[in-house]
Formats: sequence, structure tokens, C-alpha cells
Amino acid sequence: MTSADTTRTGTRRHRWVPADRRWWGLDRRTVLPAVIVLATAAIMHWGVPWLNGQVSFSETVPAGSTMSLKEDVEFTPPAGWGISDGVLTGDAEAGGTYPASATVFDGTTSITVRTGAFEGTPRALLRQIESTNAATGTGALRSTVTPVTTASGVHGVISEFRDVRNDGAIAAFVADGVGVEVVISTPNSTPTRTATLIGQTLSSITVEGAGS
Amino acid sequence: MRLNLFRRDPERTTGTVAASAVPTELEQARTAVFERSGWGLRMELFQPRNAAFWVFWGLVIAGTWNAITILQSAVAPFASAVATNSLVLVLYAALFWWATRAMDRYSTLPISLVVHAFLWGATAATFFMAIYANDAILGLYGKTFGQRWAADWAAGLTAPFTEEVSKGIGLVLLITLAPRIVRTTFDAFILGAFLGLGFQVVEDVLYVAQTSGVDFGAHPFLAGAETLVVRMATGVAGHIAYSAIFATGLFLLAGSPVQRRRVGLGVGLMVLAMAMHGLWDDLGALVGPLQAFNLVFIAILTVIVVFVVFRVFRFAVRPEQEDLRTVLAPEVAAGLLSPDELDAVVGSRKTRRRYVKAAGSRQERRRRRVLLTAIHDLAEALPHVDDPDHIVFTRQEVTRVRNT
Repeated sequence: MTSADTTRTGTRRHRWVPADRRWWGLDRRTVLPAVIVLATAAIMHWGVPWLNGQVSFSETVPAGSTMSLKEDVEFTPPAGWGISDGVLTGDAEAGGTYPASATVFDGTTSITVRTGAFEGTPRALLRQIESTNAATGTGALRSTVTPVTTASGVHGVISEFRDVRNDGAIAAFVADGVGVEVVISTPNSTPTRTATLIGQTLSSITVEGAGS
Repeated sequence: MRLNLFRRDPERTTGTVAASAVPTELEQARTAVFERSGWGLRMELFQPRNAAFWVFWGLVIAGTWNAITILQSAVAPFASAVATNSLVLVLYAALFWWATRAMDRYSTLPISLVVHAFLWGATAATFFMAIYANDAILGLYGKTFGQRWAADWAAGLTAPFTEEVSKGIGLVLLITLAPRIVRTTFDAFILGAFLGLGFQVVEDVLYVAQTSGVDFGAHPFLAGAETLVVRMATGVAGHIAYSAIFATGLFLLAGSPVQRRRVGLGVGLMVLAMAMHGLWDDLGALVGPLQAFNLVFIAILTVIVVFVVFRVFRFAVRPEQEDLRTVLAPEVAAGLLSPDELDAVVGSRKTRRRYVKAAGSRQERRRRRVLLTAIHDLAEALPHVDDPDHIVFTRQEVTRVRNT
């Protein structure tokens, strides 16, 4: 009988663990399986994420390369920046599709581009993004909304946000029923050169069949 | 109490014969089954001296806490859409719960143990283990092999390991919590199915929440519903099936006082479950340019998974059926049950249906169905020798139903 024994009668004797089979009050025979499970859980919860944290992203944007997304959206990220999400143009997933998001980064500065179907104006898309963010308490935008237009003529709006650690901005573009969200996250002080690169990336966004 | 008065109704026939009419060896064989298989045992809920008790509840509570935190942020923007879709999911889960309980018809596991399995799958396995390991391993693949490769292959080379292990390891705790109940391969199969059911339900809620945000969350209900329909349609070849197969393999690998260790078969089943899981997750990449026929490949894979899970079920259930036959054999010898009735009760669904259909009228068919249930009640009561009144009562019930 073990402490884990279950009984038809529920008597105390059935639940009894002999004194010489206890370890810190626990039934010694139950310790090993419990430790195995605990160790497995710890490895999965802390160990593997720790290992992931030790490895850096190695993929970078080659000079002149573009990244493609779902809905035939393309943009030119700054050369040499790391890629933590998304694929370069020409590296479509099996079946020829591109993912709906891409993220490039340089240190703590990152640019994330997301695409999706959207019918409405860029301001409506920004409001939609704002309301989603508000529900999760992230990226509260300032009231100022500035119109922007990419080099290819895709119209959009941009608004800044600031939280404890980051400055940033969210831009929203809409063309031909395709919405593009760009989230720019930078440390509180952004060098001018980085700001210029971010501006160039924003300007490089194209939506196939849209713009001038 | 009225129920007790009813039980002791002296006018009712007992359906028993003199004990001497039942061969001793049949009684001994029945007792041996009870002792060996843990038939009819209840699970002790509070086991402070069992280390598995503390680990189980510690991880379930931690998993629940993480679930609340993660789901809150994923669901918050589309709360009403996710809640509406999740209601449908509850009905779907109830259907699978009922189907899995119905499969466990020979020596039914205690409900408390089944609830433990479901809880583990829905909390600790998902929100304490798999979700963290998945994100990290997917990240590692992307960093090591590039984002394109990861987009195609990472899911199928991550989830089968992290998810099957996180669900399957729950079985180790359940065995340690109830070592005299979880004795047979079939017990492991059923508990594996419930571990998978818990996992699948919360995973579906998470997927619904995530896809509600597709297209900037402009149509959260429709986007979530679309995901839900796909998940429900393909759910039969999902976590429930993989976990049932994996847990059966794990149990065979570990062995028990009743089940001799079978390393080859055990490892084989675990690998098979992971392989099918991996195939499912990487189907898009495997199909490649033939994605226009994706539905055909999904259908083929579903058929394969269902075929395998039923083969494993039949393999695992056979000893249970034999045990039930042994348990009821003295009742046949005593004249309470006929051999036909015994065959139907211990037989497969097909056998039971044949037995019921053999009755002429509709009323007779219904009576036979009820009779099989009454015989099951008797089989459930027989191990409880400390409650002879109830055993007598269930025998009376068999006779009453037969004579209705």
C-alpha cells in the first residue's frame, strides 16, 4: 500500500504510509516520479526559454533586399538590420504564400509590419488598431495624427506613442482593400540616422496595384 | 430514506441463487480481477504524503494563473466574440467528453481521476509547459535555420515533442496519485484522451482569440468562428487522438503490475503519435505546390489518425473486455445473466448493436438497451463488498428490467 492508495472502504489504514518509508513526511515511492515531472516542467518553462534567450538572431537584411507580406505588400528594410519575423521577397513559404507580419530590428529599435484585409480609411484603421491596443493596455497613442504618403503613393496616417521604456509610432496605410500597420519601437532617445532609416522604410512600402 | 426503502423491498426478487451454485474458481477469478485491476476503487483526493499530489496541484495552479494572464491579454480586445465562439466550443467539448466516457464502458475510471486528467491538459500542460517551450523552440529554429525554413517546418518539429511530452507527463502523476486504479493499458488510453481533451479545448480558445485579431480585428466574430469550424472539423484527429496513443505507449514503456513492460511497442506508439502530430502541423510544407488539394490531404491524414487510434483502442480494450467477462461470469453461472447478455455487455459496439437489433419489437430493443446498462451497474457494484445491499439491489434491477 502507498499513501496514494485508494480504497473501497476509505479506512485510515489504507492511507497509512509506514514511518520507515517516509522522506520528509512524504511517501518515498512517490518522490521520484514527482521529481521527474517537476524537472520536465522546469526545463520546458524556464530552461528552453533561457536557452532561446542565449542565442541571437543571425539573419540580416542584405543591401537592397525587400521583404514581402501577405496581400502583396512589400517594403525595403534598412540593410544590415536583423530579421526576427517574416521573410525576404523570393523566400515564400511552401505553397508560395507570404506571412502576414515581418519584424526587423537594430539593437532595441524595431519595425514591425502587419497586413490584412481592411475596407476603410487609414484613419479608421488607426482607430481600429488603437481600440485593440487600448484593450490590452499597450501603445496608447497621442492625439496628433499626421498624414503620410509612401514613395509609391500609398496614403496613410501616423501617430506617436510613448511608454516607460520606449518611444514609438504606429502608422496605418490602406490601399485597394489592403491595410498595413507599421509599429515602430525605439528607445527614448533615437539617433537621427536611425530615424532617417525608419523614415525610408516607411516610405518604401508598396501595395501591388495601388498608388501612383 | 426512500431510496434505501426501495433497495430493501422484500417483495422484489433478488436474482441470486445459492452461493454454492457458483463455482468457487469463478468467484476467485473475479476477486483476482478486482485486486489486479483496481476495479471500483475510488480516488483519494487529499494525499498530503504523496509528492505527486503537491506537484500536480502546484503546476495546475501555476498553469491556471498563467492561463488567466495570457488569455486576458489575448481575449480582451475581442472578448464578446471569443466568449460567443467559446460557448460553441463548450458544447463540442461536452460531446467529446461524453464520447470518451462512453468508450470507457468496461471498468469505468473514477470521475475524479478523469477530471484530474482534463485539468492537467487544460492548465499545467498548456499554460505552464507547452506554451513557453513552443515559443522558445520556434524562436531557436528561426535563429538557427532562418525564418523561411522556420515558417515551413518549425511547427511540426516543435509541437509534437513539447505538447505530447507536456500532456503525457501528466500520466506519470496520475499513476502516482492512483497506482491501484491506473493499472491497465486501457486506463492509460482513456486518461490520455482526457489529457488531450483538456489541452485541445484551451488551445482552441487561444486560437479563436488569436485569429479574432486577423485583419486588424475588424470582424472578430467571423474570423474566430472560421477558425473554430476548422478546429472542430479536424478535432477528431487532434490532441485527443495523439494523447491517447502517446499515453498508451508511455504506459507500455513504463509497465505496471498488470501490464508487462513492452519497450518496443511503447516507444513505437509514442513515436507514431508524435509523427502524426508533426505531419499534421507541417502538412502545408509537405504538400508544397499541391496546396490546392490541401483538403484532400487533410482528409487522408484524418482517416489515417482515426484508423490508428481505433487500432490502439482495440488493442488496449481487449483485456478490459476479458476482465469484465470474468467479473460477470459468476452471475452467468448463477443464472442471473444469459451467455448472450454477457457476450453483448463485454462485446464491441457492433456486438451490442447486433444483440439489441436481434430483439423483434421496438419496445423489446429498448428493453435490451436498458438491460445492458443495468448489467453495467451490477458490474460497477460488485467490487463494493462492503455494501452488499447495493449489490443485491443491482441484481434486482437486472431482473426487474428484464421482466419489464
